[in-house]
Amino acid sequence: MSAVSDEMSIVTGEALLSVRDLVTEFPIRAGVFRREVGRVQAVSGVSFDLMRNETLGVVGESGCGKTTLGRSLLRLVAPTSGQVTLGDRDITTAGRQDLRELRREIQMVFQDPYASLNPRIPVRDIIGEPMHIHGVPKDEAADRVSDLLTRVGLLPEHGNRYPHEFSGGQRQRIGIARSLALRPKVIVLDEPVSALDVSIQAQVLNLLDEVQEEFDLSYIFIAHDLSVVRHTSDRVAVMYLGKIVEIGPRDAIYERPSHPYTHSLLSAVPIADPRRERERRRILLQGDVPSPASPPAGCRFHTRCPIATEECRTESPELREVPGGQQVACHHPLAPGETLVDITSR
Amino acid sequence: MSTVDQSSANALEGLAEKPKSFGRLAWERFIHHRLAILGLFGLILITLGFIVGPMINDYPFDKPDVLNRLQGPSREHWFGTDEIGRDLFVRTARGGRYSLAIGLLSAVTATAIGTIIGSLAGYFGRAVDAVIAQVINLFLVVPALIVLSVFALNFGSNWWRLSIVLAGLLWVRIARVARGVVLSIKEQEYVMAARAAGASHLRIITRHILPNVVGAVTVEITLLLGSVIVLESTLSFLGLGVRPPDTSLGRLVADAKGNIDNDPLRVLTPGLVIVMIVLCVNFLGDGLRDALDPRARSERTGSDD
Amino acid sequence: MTDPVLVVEGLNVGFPSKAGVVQAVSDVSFELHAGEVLAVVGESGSGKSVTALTLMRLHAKSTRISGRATFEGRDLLSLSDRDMRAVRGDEIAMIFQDPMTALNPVFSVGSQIIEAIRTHRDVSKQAARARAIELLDLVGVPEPRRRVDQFPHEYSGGMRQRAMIAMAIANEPKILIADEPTTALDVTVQAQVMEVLRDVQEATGSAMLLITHDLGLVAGAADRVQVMYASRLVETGGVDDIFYRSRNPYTRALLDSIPDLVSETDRLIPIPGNPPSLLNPPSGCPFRPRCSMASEVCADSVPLLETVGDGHSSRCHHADLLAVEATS
Repeated sequence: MSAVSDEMSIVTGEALLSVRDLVTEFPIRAGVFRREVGRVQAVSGVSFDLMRNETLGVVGESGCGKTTLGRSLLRLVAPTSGQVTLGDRDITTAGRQDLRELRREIQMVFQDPYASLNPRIPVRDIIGEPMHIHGVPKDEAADRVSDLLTRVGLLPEHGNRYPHEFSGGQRQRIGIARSLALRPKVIVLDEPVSALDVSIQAQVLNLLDEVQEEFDLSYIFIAHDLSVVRHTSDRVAVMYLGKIVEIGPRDAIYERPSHPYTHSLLSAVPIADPRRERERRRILLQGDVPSPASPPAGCRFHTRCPIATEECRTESPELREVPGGQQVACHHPLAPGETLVDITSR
Repeated sequence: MSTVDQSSANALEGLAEKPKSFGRLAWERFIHHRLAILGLFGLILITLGFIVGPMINDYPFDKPDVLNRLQGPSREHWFGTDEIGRDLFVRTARGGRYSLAIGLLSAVTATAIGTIIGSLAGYFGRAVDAVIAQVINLFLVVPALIVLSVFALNFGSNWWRLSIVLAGLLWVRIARVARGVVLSIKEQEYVMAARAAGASHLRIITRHILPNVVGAVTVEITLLLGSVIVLESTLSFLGLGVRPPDTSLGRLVADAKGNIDNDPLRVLTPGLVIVMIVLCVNFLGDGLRDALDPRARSERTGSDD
Repeated sequence: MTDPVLVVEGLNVGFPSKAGVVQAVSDVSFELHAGEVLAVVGESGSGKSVTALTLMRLHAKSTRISGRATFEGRDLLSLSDRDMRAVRGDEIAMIFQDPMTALNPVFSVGSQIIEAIRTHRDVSKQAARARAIELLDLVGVPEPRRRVDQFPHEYSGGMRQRAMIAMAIANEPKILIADEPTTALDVTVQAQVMEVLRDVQEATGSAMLLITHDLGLVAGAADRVQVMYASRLVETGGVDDIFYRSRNPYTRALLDSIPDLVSETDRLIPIPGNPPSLLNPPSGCPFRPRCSMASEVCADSVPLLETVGDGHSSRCHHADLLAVEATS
């Protein structure tokens, strides 16, 4: 797995962010003395590279660990083990000073427009705070705040106002402006449009698109909505219970999916086209997603997988390259064009 | 760029004429809360009464006038006189000032201690929190009145000493509230955003957390004030509070209880003053809570229709 | 088509507030037939949820309501509290969005279903319990005999939603109102739950009012669709009419602005601006400030809901301009 990824970054030579075997677990404490009685395995060994100017989409359902992954990349949550390298510096082992410096380069846009802005401080201070922390001179900071406000589609006067005066979509724009303040190289977007109305989502997605080009950014786009991810991403990683089960170019994932989970996921997504919906044959998975506190042994998907075998119950598969162009962690990856329905009806 | 321009134009649609800070919004909400305004005015009136009243009706509080003892209310003695002829209005005013002074000093001290300890517990969590949480629980179990009584018996009942002891017992109420607020704010995304920008612990605590703690704590202070006054009154009623000829509201009630059949007014007057103060303080607290709780009057536009 | 099960005429719902009346629903009329799925689509603030809650009379006492909602010969909006309680859970049932909060955490799932049954039917506890187990099985909860005594926190999100559906269909209601039934669920679970709803509807023959903002869900589940914007119905018609032959600029703009799983477009066409204030709506057509086709007449008057095709109506002064091009 690492070998293949390393190979990729050697080939293109432009890996901006490198993640190797990242593990983030949370202890579950119980009892008077708060002893550890279990661990939530939120992220269990994730590796990938992020290239310059690309958008890597990370999709998965609840419990898959994508939000924790995003936060681990910025060390907002302490990774248990593994490495996150930005350029040639390691975020995971950086000391306080270095971490502060590194935070100029990688920023985050949060999901909840109502919780991601401090209600008590005016918008210009919200956007200006990162600059203040890093010692940008006041005049320069003020100018940049005005510029950023204009860039995200608001007016410089809006800097004097408070978050509660804005709508959800506008607040997300403020959040985006804040993330751009220090001119980072990488922005992790954690469900940036999930809390917005449908007609506003498109506005914000377009803004993100424009801003990416103009500011020369790379995005990690975390979302549960596969349609949105398809629209925004160059490459996509599908996560399930803390692991990446499939990762590759967008078209490969959406048109020639290989992992049974990816197949099920894609078949479950509703499409706003009645004819197609009528013609579709859905793959209905049994049961719900297991808890990340006690993931199944072997391949974590085997409990719900229609084609699981004995091997799947005992051996955890590694990510391997498949003919479609992507990497898949499965003992029985599906060939391009093969559909899960075919197999299950055999 | 057209989407952006149009958004700018429309962005102003939903906004009021002037920026409204959180403080301003809270003030507006507070002003509209009728009971709170009532409570505030009530308190102001009572306090003024305690201070200004005796300046007008200037009988000394401790001068006996046995010839005029046990008189009812008159133009000379607005509340009448007690069993040795002292003017009751002036005594009530003095007692009231005493009660309020203890209340304020202990409330302020308790708040200072409680906010700091509670916030530290909430922010740093784990070991620090575990220890402090248990300490808080311990203090909550201790019956305040008994501790106060023991202290008063042994160390005297100087008003500021009593205040310190009260603060020493009641800080936990503030600490519990502060800790709760900090715990919940800590996980808010805007705090995470500040960390992502590289903010130090100090900056996060002072800029993002404390301002939000202030709101909840303010409310708790007003409730605390009420408790202190009742506690002090009880203590004095039991004879362990102020020493004569000094007096407090509780003491006045105690003095009058002997004659309750003949002269119920003498018991009721200081008793009612206690009730009024506590009531006003509670109304004020209600109003503050409604004004400062961001969730109560959220300006959210994206909620379900 | 059979006789309608529910006929709503001229529904208006307003919430009085200090700043004035917030008009959440304006002049909404529609019919619901047995066995069909009518989807009510809109974004937040459109009035879709308020419509449903008002029909169920789950609104606050201060709400200003006018109009009629005829169900089985009676007007739901003028029923007494007592009569309405008899209707709720028995003839008209509702499924809510958040399965976490819609079930009472201190009672077992079974007892909540039993309560739903015994409130309206005179049956013994044992009979009701047997029925509860049967219902849990029907909605696909595994091991129903064991699970019937479990508590909501022991159920997963998808299972809780199934339990809520079981409660709703316990008395074989004539109308099922589903308010964003899958919004809080993962997409694979969503598919399962929609399947359950489909089966359940077929089994009981009830009509379903599906309230949602998710156009994909509508495309897969609905027979007819009603689009709401800023408290008004702006378009209604069969599902194919709405998706392929829409005659309303808002509907079209909405369809153009959503990212799709399959289409090739690189750039989304967003709807500029924001939804209007319900306190101070713009004059004339509520969509005018954001509409690419807006003209003077649009500012002067609110367009009427007019028939543009068989069973297809649109509220737009320029609906005829949209007749020529198909949308897909």
